[in-house]
Amino acid sequence: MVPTEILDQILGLLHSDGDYATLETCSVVFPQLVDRHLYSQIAFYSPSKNFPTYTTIDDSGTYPVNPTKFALILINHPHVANYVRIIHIIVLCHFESYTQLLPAIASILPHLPRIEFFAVRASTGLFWPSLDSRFSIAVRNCIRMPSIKDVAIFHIRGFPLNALYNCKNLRRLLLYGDDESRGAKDVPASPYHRLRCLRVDASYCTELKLTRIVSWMKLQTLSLYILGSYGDFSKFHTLIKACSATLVNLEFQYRFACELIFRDLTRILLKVFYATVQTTQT
Amino acid sequence: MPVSQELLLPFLERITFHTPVFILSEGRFFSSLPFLMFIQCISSPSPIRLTLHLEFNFRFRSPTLVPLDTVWSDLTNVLALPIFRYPIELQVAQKNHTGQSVSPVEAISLLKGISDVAKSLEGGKLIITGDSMA
Repeated sequence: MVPTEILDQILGLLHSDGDYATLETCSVVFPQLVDRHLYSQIAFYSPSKNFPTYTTIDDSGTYPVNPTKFALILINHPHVANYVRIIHIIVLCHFESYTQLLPAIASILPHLPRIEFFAVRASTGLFWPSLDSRFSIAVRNCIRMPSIKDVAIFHIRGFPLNALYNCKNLRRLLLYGDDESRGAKDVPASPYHRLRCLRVDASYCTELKLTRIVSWMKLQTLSLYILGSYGDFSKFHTLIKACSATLVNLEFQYRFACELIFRDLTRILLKVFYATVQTTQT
Repeated sequence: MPVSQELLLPFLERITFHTPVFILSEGRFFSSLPFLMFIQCISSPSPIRLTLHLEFNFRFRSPTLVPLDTVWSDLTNVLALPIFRYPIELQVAQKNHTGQSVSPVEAISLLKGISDVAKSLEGGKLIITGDSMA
């Protein structure tokens, strides 16, 4: 029998390599040991005819799971809930996402007590108020849990910044995408004592509410994600000034729209290529 | 590009600028480096380290991008600002590994082809760091 420590190392390597098929097989024999790796970092997605696999996530070691199946896993193996540390939710713009994925996730989130990193990604610009209300409430409650340290919101328009109110242990916040909710009146004062790193899309920089929130932070790292025209730099001035008293690192991440289009196109072509190869092999 | 009003950042230690760089088949560069002019408005009582992280990318042409070789001389003025008392760190990365991309070694030799870059490297004002050294 291989010592548990060595077995644990091997499972960790399988996980970091993204070999989930092997881990799933191992899980039948050593469920407690394997599940700790397999479910530590998961991505909820909705299977679809148009999108047979989930949208690619850059971070390796993220296990893609269908939320409906995961709900059954939680019923049969409740210990799995304690292993989940990182969650990515991928919302694609199709009917199944709205009708099946979001309500299923809303029912799961309250049962995961140890989430540290929480990310919601939309395939294209998605309007937050149009999402299922049960899902919105579940996300708000989830990101306020004491265990949450990182929150990332990608390409979701109108995400309310007041959802971040009372996220006492939040250390890093990432906001990519447009925020259409204007005005600073509805953002209550919140201390954000532990928030040290903010990564934000240039489109948020004109947002008065964000500037007001930043002034309450003791922000050490500000990372500005720039996509678009040269005029964007003028937007940063107020935001940088708001955190000037504590700022240690300032990052500018520039991207061109054409580059993102090329990247997405490459991913689609690769998926088609692999699907064709698999069909030919079978 | 208009320079904004002064920004005093008393505890700032590092500025990192990540940008893709596009190389055309004829060897000309296109990038967003002119944006760096913005940091002229930043002031700090302590010296700041500046890192330029260039990601060399597929060959692509866009009318909104500015040729790198024509703007580096302007950049030299920015790099010579008194807040940058440390050498400027230049990191070169390969964005993807397709045949369309440029290897870091190839990218560095292309950069050295720009006389201002070569001069800064020789003068020790610019140093190449990170994976791009491989």
